[in-house]
Formats: sequence, C-alpha cells, structure tokens
Amino acid sequence: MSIAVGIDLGTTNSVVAAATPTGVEFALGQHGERIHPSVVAYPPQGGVVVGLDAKARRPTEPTTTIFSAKRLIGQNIRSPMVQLALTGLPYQVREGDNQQPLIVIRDRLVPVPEISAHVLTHLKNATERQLGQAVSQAVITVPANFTDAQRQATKEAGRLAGLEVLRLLNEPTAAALAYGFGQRKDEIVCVFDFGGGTFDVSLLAIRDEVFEVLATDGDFFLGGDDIDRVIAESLAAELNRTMRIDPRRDPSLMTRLSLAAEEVKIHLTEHASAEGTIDGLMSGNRELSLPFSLTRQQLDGMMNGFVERSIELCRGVLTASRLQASQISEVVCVGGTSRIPLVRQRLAELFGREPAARINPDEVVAHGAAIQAGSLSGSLFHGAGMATKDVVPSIRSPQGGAASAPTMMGMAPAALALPPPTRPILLDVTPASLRIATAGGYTEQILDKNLPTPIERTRTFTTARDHQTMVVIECCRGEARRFADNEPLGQLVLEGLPPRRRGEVRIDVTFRVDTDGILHVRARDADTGIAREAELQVLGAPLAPSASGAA
Amino acid sequence: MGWSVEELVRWLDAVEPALEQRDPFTWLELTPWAAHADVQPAFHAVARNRHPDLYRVRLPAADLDRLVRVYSRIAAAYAELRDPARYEVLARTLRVGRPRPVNLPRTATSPQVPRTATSPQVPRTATSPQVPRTATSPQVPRTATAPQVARTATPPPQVARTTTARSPSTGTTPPPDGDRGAIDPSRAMNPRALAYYRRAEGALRVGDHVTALLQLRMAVASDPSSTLLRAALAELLSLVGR
Repeated sequence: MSIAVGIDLGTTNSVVAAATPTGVEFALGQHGERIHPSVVAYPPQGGVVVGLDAKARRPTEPTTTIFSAKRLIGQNIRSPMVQLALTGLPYQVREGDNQQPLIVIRDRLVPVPEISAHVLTHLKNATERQLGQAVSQAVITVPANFTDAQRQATKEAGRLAGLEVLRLLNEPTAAALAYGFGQRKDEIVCVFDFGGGTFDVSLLAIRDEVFEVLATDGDFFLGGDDIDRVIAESLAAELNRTMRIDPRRDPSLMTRLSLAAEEVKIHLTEHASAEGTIDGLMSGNRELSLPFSLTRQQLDGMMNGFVERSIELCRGVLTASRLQASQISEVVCVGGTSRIPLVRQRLAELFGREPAARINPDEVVAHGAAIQAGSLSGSLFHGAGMATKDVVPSIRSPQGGAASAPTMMGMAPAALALPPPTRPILLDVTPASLRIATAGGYTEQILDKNLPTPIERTRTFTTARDHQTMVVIECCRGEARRFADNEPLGQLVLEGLPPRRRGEVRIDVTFRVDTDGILHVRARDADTGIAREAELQVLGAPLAPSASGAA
Repeated sequence: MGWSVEELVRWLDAVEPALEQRDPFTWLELTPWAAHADVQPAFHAVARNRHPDLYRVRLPAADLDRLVRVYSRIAAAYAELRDPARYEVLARTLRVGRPRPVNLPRTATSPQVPRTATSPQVPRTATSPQVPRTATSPQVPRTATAPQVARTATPPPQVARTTTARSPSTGTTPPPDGDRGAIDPSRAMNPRALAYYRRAEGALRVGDHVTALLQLRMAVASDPSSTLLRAALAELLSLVGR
C-alpha cells in the first residue's frame, strides 16, 4: 500500500512527514536529520548528491552545488528581483525558452524544477526507507504569495520526482492546520512565516474543522538568506579592510563567508555576542583566517530593515481583514528566521502577546501538509494534530482530539470504536489581484486579492477597434492600475470574432483560480458562443510537458 | 463530514441549470434578510458539507469537476457578501418585493451578535441561515436594551419591527400570515388608535423618533387595552433610550 506525504519544500531546508496511525511521523535522513537541506550537488565524477551531503560540498564545489533553487523556480529571469538575486549566487544561470532560468552545470543546462525534483526524490526515498511503504502522492507546500508560474513549476517538480501532487498547500495555512487540527478551536490566529527565502503572513479564522484564511500577504524576496547576505557582506568588508582581499569576486570565498554568516546568525539568536575566527578561507593558494566579533545589537541594526518590512506586512493583513491586533488570539511562528529575538520582540509589540510557545517553527508546515495529505488521500487518523507529540501548553481542549489521542498510541485504528476524524476544511485565498490589460495600457481587475479559492468570476468586455476579429487577452497580477506596473502572467488569444463595429462584440472573460491557487483563463464570444479555453501560457515556467527528462 | 455522494449529485443536478440566476444570498442559503454577521457562518456551513476536498476520493472525476465549478460560485458569492458595503447594497436590492421569512422565532442570538465585518465572536448557534436579523439601520440607535424588549413574550411590537427591518413594502402590504409579528394592527386596536399608529410608523420610517413617540403615546391613550400598542411603545422607548 502506498501512502501520501506532506512536504515542506523550503528555500534552505525541506521537511517531509506522513500521517500514520500513531501520529505524524517525520522522515529522517541517512545521518538521522529531520531537516534536509534543499541543496543539490553535481559532483565531477557524475551522479547527484542531495541534502546534508550536498550542503557539505558547497565550499569546495560552489559552482555545481545548487542551493536556494526555490528563489528561481517558475521565475521570469528578466524580472528585476531575480536579476538582483542572481548577483549573489556562485553558480551560473542562463535564460532558456519562455524566459525561464536554466542552471549551468558544466556543459549542461538544468531547468530549475529538475533541481527541486531531486530534493523531492530525496525526501520520498527517505520516507520509503523509514516507513517501508511506497510513497506515490504528496501535498507540497508553497509560499502563499507564489505566482502561477511558480506553482506550476513546483507541480512539475513533483511530477518529475514521480509524485502525484494532491495539492499545493500554502505554507501559513499548513502551519495553522497543524496548530489547530483536532483541537475544536474558535479563534483567529496569525501565522508569521519568516523562512530562509520568503516571508508570508496569514490571518486565519479557525472554527472547529474549518480553517478560513482571512487575508494573506508576503514578500517573495525577504528571508533569512538576506540576513546571511548582509552579515557575509560585513565579513567581506572586514576581510577586504584587514587583508586587502576582495572576496566578492571569488565565489568559493563568498560561499564560505555566507555559511559562516548563517552560523553567526544562529549563534546570536541564543547569545548576546559572537566572537571567533573563520578558518579555511582559501584565496588562491593562501589559507586565511578571519577573526570577527559581532554583538546582537549590531546584528539587530543590520537586519532592522528586513524585520520592519515583515511587521509592516502584518499590519497590512490586519487592515485587509478589518481586524485589530488585539483580536488575534495566537501568533504561530514558522520558519527559522522567526526564532530571531528581534523578530519575536517586534511581533510581541505588535500583537501584545508572545508568539505561541513550543511550536517547532521548522516542522510545523510539513506537519500540516501531512495532515492534509492524509485527509485528501482518505487516510487520516486521530491524533494527527500537534497535541499528541508536541504538547502545546496554551491549548484549551477539555474534550477534543487531544484527550482521546493518548489512547490511540500504538493501537491499530480499526480496533477503535472512534468515528473517523473530521476532515479539515481549508478555505484559502488568492494572494494577489488578477487583472487583464485594457486599451491604453491600463488594466481591469477580475479577481481581487484575498478572495476565497477555488473561485470563478466572469467579466464582459467589448472590442476596442472596428472589424476586430481577434483579441489578445493579456493577464497580469498585482495591485497597480497600469499594466506595466504589474507582473505579467501570460496571454490568451481569441480568434474568429465576427467583424463588427467596435464595442459591438462582447467577450466574456472568466478567471478561475483552483484549489492549488493556479489561474485558468477562459474567453468566450458572448454572442456567437465561440469559446476558447486554454491554460494561460505562463512566462518563466517550463513549457508543459517539460522537454527535459529527469536525471 | 459531508453528504453522501447521492445527495451531493442530486444537489448538483438541482443547482446547475440555474447557475446564473442565483444571487449571492441564495448560494449561501441565506435570505436577503440575513444580517452581515450571518454571512461567514453560512459560508462555513456550506463548505462543511460541499467543499470539493471532502469528495476527492469518493466522487467520479467528472462530478468532482462539476462540484468544483459550482463551489467556485459559492466562494464568489461569499467574497461579495463578506464586503460590508457590497452586502448592504445587495441586501437592499434583493429585499425588494420579497416577503420576509415568516414563522421563525427570534432567537436570543440575533440582536446581540456583534456586527464586525468578520465577526470572530459569532456564537456557533448563529449558523441557522434563516434567522431574520435587524438590518444595520442608520436611524435606529442600537441601544443595549432594545434586544431584550424584542424577546419578551408580549405580542411583537409592530412599529419598531417595521423600521428595523426596513422593508420597502411595510405599511402597505401586511407581512404574510403566520409571522408572530403579523398581527393585523387594524384588529389589534380601535380605528382612532390605528390612525395614530400609522402616523407613528410613517415617522419611524423617516427616522423621526420624537414624532413617532408622540403619535404612539396618543395611540395608547386612545386604546389603552391594546397589548400590541403597549409593547410597541415599550420597544420604542427602549430604542430611544428612555
């Protein structure tokens, strides 16, 4: 029998879990790690190395060890933010068909979904090894503000890894599900997801089994990586000042500094200061060591801008859902960056309460994904909620699932007289407004942001010129009135319209966002009924079916 | 846990032919008389038994596709009604010419529900979609005492009800029979009192509480035996906070 897993496919780290009759189980790597680095290395001798072993290769093989692929997946390489992100990478990226980024591995160009597919395969194998069961289905989590192309590319990665992707689940929603499943709650929570590469914040109303996202927002280029980068840059400046070596032109040296920066950052979440020496810095054939000292206060100063931006987005979702900070009954922190004391302090100031204690910010997303995977595949068990394994003190649950859970442990579910657990109902929302281009470079909004999904809405447009027999429907996403200020998504062509005076031909444009958050656009001549439904030709995503074979 | 597959398919068959004709309230199984605070619980109630995820394993692919499309309309309806401004416009428009639902007890929950947009504190009992609520009426002060009067066992105070309900047809068409509030005023008081009573109604419709109170007092003076009048006066007094 095969099982369905939940996968938190992160920028820096990934986690995989499965709902089993004895609770949610996390699959360990070959070194016993629960958290698998999202790193894929292509060693010179051939083959592919993934996870912890790949991460170890980063300093020695910087140009063929790929990390943070999630920042590139489904991205349009021409977008300015991507160009900015590329400047800091030690590996080479080229533009491929349809403006998708391709990663240069020696003489080969590798599409980004293929990198992610290696990570997914690694997680799949780890689970199969541990549970002794085949894994064929998965719920994969994505940042709430992921675009269409990013979602489609992630689905493609799942397909390449031989997984049926049951659902792309938004990360904050997954976290809320893990937090509230089986608890009979009636409250509004804020999920603050500050990960390695992306930042998301969602407000959810949890009422029994219903998890309704009220509003969500995020910044795709805001994460722990940015903090590492500023620390690494300050270390690089220090190296330049004391030894007259500019490491910024040396990918190997810069990688070493970035890894050291990450360690310094983690050290400073627990300690007030970090002092030491970074050894093993190779510059040409000289080995250098760089002494450094950094206090938490200095670090706070460096990253204040990033933290401020995340808090600003929190205020934004409160406004969008017409709520006061005081109406939020719990703040659920997700992602490693949320461990930083400055972040926790600013959150506590905003919401007037400390974030929920004892929720493991690294695992909560995969936990939620595992519950949803169990629910969608029809194999959900009691005790999949968090209360069974991780006791969360602030939870009031006198007669809920938590109480019945301990009796479950170690018992076959069939032996119990309990009814099957109530399946959670996740009501997610659109992360951004979806628009189409109209005459004069402007746009017309079809779907606003924060609308419940799946959703469908039709608007009627007319032709702009006389005897127009064809319309090109250009779709974009964003909050701006002008087309150029939004993010282009792709286009749809409707041909064979009757030649009439302008304004006399009516065209129904239907936008449908499915449960994976993927947009489908349909255009129809309202009078003749000529319909044309096509998947939006998205920019940046690999053309489906992908021409590249999985390795 | 959802419906049986048969129930669901039957429902799909029933709603699909009229996809375009259904208004947002109908999709959420509400009447236009529902308060804004009812919208979220109603959506949750529908989602609890018709969300496509519940049928992913059980339903054939073609039916699941139908369900997703129909559910998408429900989500769109919720998106519209969730917006307080849009709700107000739709409710006013759709109430025209529709009888207010009849024969429903005024439950204790109705007037006390906070009218915040997303209403996190809505009691779970508020899921009953048909409970008529007082509409957010700008000219009726929402005093804390008003609801208690509305729930007393006395015959329903017709005057105050017609104003809070803001029915466009009140005063001309009596509410359908069977409503506890549908006691015909012309039979509940003598003609002289009725004239005052009608004037009080008219004054309340335009928000003139002072005149309404005066006319109602005159009505009570003309027919002190009418329980309807006394109840109406009591409700109006509590509404204006005296």
